[in-house]
Amino acid sequence: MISLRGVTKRYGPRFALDDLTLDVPAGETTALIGPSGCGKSTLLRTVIGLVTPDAGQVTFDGTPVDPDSAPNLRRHMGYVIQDGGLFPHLTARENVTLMARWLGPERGWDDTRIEQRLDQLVHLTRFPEDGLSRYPCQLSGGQRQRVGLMRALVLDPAALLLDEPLGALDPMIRVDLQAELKQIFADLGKTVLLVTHDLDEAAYLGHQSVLLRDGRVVQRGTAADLIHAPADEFVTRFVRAQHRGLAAEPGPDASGRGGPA
Amino acid sequence: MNTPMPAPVTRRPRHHGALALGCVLALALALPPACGEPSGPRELVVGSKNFTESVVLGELVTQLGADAGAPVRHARQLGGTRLLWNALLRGELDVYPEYTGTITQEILAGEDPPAPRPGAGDTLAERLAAHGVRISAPIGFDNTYVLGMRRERAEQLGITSISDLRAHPDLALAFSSEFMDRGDGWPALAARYSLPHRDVRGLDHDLAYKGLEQGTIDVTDLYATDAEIRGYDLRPLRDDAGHFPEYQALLLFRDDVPTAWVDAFTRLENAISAGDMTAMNARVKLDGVPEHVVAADVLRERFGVTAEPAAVETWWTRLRRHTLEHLLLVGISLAAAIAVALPLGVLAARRPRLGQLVLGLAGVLQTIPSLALFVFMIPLLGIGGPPAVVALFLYSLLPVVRNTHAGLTGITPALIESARALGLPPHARLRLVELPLAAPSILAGIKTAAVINVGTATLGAFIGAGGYGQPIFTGIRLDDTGLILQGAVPAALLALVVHGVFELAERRLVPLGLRLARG
Repeated sequence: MISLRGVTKRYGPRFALDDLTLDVPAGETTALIGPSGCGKSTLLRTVIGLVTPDAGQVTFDGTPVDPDSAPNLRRHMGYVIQDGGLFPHLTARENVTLMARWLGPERGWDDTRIEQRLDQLVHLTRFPEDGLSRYPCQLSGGQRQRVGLMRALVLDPAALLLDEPLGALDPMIRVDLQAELKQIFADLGKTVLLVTHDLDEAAYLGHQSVLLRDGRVVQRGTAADLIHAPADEFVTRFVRAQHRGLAAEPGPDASGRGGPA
Repeated sequence: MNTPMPAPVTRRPRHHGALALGCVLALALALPPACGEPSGPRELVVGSKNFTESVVLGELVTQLGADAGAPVRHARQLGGTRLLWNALLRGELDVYPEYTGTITQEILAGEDPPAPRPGAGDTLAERLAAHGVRISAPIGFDNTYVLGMRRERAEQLGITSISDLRAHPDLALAFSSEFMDRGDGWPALAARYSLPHRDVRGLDHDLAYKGLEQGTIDVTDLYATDAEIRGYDLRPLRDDAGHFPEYQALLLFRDDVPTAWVDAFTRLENAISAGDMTAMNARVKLDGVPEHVVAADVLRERFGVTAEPAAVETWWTRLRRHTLEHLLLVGISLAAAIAVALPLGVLAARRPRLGQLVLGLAGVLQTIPSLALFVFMIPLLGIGGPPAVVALFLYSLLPVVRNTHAGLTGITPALIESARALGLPPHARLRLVELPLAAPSILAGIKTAAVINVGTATLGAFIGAGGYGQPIFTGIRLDDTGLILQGAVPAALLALVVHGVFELAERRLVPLGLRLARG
């Protein structure tokens, strides 16, 4: 579905991505984890063409992602950032339907279809109907995130890219939304690529996790693999850092969530 | 893939800026010479300078022309000698009153050494003929420069002639800015008489009289026929070294003016004495009689000419005309400035290096004193509405360009990225996301430009564009506060109205979500 081959991106002397190769399987949720600056956000941004790699190639469903193809490919990828990235001058409804309205009836998006799609999304994300006419500044953090998700899904894209989608939320709401996201991903069955710095979240939401360090893949597998079969010392330290304090509780990956069929 | 691949978005060429600029110039050139007044087939256009005597003489010529059946228009109280002379050469004026001294010392000064006292009109006429300009015989009075003091102060210090000033180096001198600069003006006078004075200022001629009255200045330049000599009880100081050349009043006119019209206005030759002129000046300046009435009275007494009573403008119709002229100046220049500055601001935001250049150029335009900018336009576009519109247009660019640029570059990068990630092409991003987000800043820029424009447009009167500046300039010339207020008050009110209109527009155009977010 999404594939990166030898992708390199430098910012000055620093490698954000260093000859990175990765295949993101279709229909699954893949979580990119790692410490700050490991390149996980850059990786996501190369996939959607916001960052052009210095070397290597990114393909989406077989099409190379480059500055020419990116604008069209983006309509097949939903992208959600922290706090939603909502346009403050548009209501929730206008934010969600912006792209569909721009495409317009001549490209299949008449008012009826847009309303139907909005209706589906409101139910999918359990967004309160009366919140649609509110502006972002009038919504709660969780509601903003749902609007961001609806906006990303409006064209029914093949893949969903999320960059720390829950990073700005307080812990209680975050846990609730994680459960909802998990349900939504399951309902949609789409390819999901999720960036998080939180191993628990990766373990809970992702079929597999990819741990990055300095722009390279250190280890890839289920969260259980990372914990029980660390590839190197760095993986062990990363896992330990995330799990200090929670040692007494059963690991979230012990919840028996199986791998993909 | 559930969605059909939309067709790739093609980039549109970007000539919006150039197109808009073209539109402005076309608009400016399409404007009739003096904003609002229709240009007929062949018109006798009379000019006059920005002082009472010139305006009165201009009125005399105008009414004599009308009496001879010419369709005649009086472009009153224009900025200065050069402005009128150039307008005459370009055919924007047909005739205007001038003085021999000014012709030799100023207009023809650059050509060859100025003749010391050109009394013989022949050589002067020949030199002017080379420019396609003809000259009438003198009108009959010599309005040379004199220096004047209040009689009381002059007697107290025992000053009767210019050379007496040498003994009083502490006196405060103030001269009209024209006198400060001209060939026979202050520098030459100071050299000729070895005058030691340090406190020498340039001042509007009419303000100088007030200064004399209040004692803030002691000496100024006067014209020999000035009404104020009587009005303020001034003593003209004798030019004992014979420094000033003659300033015989006469008429300059284009050699293509029809003979019948020339015959009409040359009836003024040798018809008006210095006493007559001083009396006319005094009636206007001291008694507050309008120039056209003073001129009509003289024409009736001297020539038996009953000028058809000029359509007397009531206070109300005059205000309406000035308002219309002012609104035209502001409206056209501001609309054009917005049409050009918005795309320029967008371009500046998109191309940072080009942006610095654009902002720099617009900034430089803003540093040009506004009056100078108006005058710079004259060689390109003549006098009247068009040069004023272009000057105001240039003046309005910076606030709009700068605020558009600031508004666009100030948008949170995450929002721009969100719009890109949605797959919106650049022009749709600009229209649907970036411009709405920048709207508060852009509108603030337009509001600033509009308010500045309304104020600056009053200077348009200086180059014959009319507007609220007309009564202000006339009021300053006639020392008539009421008249000044007739221009200043509506100009201030218009600025307030414009401000209010844009506040309302802001409420309608700035998206609700942004206003809520600002609290």
